[in-house]
Amino acid sequence: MKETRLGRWLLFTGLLALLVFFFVSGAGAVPSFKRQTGMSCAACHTVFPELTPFGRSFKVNGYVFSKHTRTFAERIPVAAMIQLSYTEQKDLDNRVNPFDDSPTAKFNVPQQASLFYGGKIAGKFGVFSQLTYDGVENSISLDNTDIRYADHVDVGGTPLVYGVTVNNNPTVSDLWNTTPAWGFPFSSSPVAVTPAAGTIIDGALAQQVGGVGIYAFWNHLIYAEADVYGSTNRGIARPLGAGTTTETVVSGAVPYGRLALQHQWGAHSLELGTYGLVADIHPSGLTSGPTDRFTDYTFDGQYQFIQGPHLVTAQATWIHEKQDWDASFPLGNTANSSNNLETWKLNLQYHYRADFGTLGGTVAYFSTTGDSDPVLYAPEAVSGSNTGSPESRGFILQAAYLPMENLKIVAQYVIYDTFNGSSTNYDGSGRDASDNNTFYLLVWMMF
Amino acid sequence: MKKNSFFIMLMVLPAAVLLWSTGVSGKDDGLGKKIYNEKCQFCHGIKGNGNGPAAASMNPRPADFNDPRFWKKNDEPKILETIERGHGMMPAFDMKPDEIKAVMGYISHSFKRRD
Repeated sequence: MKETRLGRWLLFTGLLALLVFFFVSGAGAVPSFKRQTGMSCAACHTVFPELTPFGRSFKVNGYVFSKHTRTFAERIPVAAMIQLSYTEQKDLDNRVNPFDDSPTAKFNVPQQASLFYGGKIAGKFGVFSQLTYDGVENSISLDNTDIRYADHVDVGGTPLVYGVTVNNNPTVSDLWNTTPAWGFPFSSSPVAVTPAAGTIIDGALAQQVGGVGIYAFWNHLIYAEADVYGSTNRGIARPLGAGTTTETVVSGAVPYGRLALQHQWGAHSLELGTYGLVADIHPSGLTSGPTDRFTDYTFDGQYQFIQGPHLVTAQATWIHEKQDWDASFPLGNTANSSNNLETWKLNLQYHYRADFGTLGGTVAYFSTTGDSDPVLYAPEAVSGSNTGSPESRGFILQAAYLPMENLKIVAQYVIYDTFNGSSTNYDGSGRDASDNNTFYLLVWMMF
Repeated sequence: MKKNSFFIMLMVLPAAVLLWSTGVSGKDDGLGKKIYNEKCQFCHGIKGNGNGPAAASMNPRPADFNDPRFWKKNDEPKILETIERGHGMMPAFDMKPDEIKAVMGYISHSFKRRD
């Protein structure tokens, strides 16, 4: 206990020292992409991590734009970040046992701390890779990683950017912020209870698979990508899941495809697209034998308006998943041999860049619906479903303030109208959907 | 595994110090050229012809400062506004007045054709 409290004090002191560096030095430490290019964060990001059109150009060209002309990176492109958070949700302290015996599960200091290697390696090779300490799980692991080679040619007088990506999360290589790896709300409470049902493509395969893909962006109009992934439980993909327990074990290859249309006119940009994957996954706890098949396809769209101090973004994502329980149904893990699941995510963001910082907010709507399955979605206090339905829906209200471009303070409120199938007594133990309403305060610093 | 706050600081602090210590830039002569090469050449190219490394993924292409039509359509106030507020894919640049003046002078003297 004493060692833990001493550790917390030392951590606070260290963070305070870093903040003093920021304010006193003026020059400050900067994220690696900013250092490499000499551009401000605002060149590539509206409000980080969301990308501007120039940011998408930087990414699709392999993270290699540099103010230096040398073949190899001028300096090792290292950056860091830390997230500190506070969560309020009914009965939170009764449900979560902090590993360090702290008196409350509400404070997560840190929620997460990461080191990044981000930028040019050499020539046309670049990388975004994140090593993360999870302050709730008390673990260190390789996080999102995207290693690229990119080049371009002229095709009949029109430009074609093409490249290869090695990554460990379907959609991490995507250019728009409508996809699960980089979508709103970008960060959320690590300790709050959340709906039971979710599609596989919506983050379940992050660092559970590793793979390689090719992509092409023609005339800044049509983007296409095709990847194939394998389990990080074994084989050549194993390093891409370093530090992560592979709990979702895929069998064989997981193909992923992406197609997007983009149009830019003045301060406006619009993207409409689709993406999807097919994954054969062993039932939980198994690493061989029969598998269940998940077929996901998605439609998405993003509109951005960036002019002067005004930043407007609207995003929409619809995911459909077909679940064939070829392995789980015979085992008695599901009531149905197949189910369908559908997810909607919509959000509207406005931020204003003032002299005192960037200030703004987001209103978002989320919904998951699908076939009832009383075995898959069984009653259980807090996390279960009294009706066997996966249905959950609600809103997210978020305010954000960035006093400087690499420090973000977020106040987020998640409101549940329906949770695991019902508005009232959803778990069969008297808990209502609104009991899971969550207040989340986040301080997010990039170095 | 015990929570190791020392390890967290070992990860974060050296990175922050390294980044801070290498992030300082000093003044030098040729301010306009320096700023152009750092911030503008990605899109507009080292030769100002709109063919920088990023240009291939942009539609429309970045402005060609060698083209007399650019100078006919864009006077100094308009160029200043574009630098400060951005335009299309071009981000806004938060530069001091003397920096903007320096880079505008560099673009004009280096790339504008004088017949």
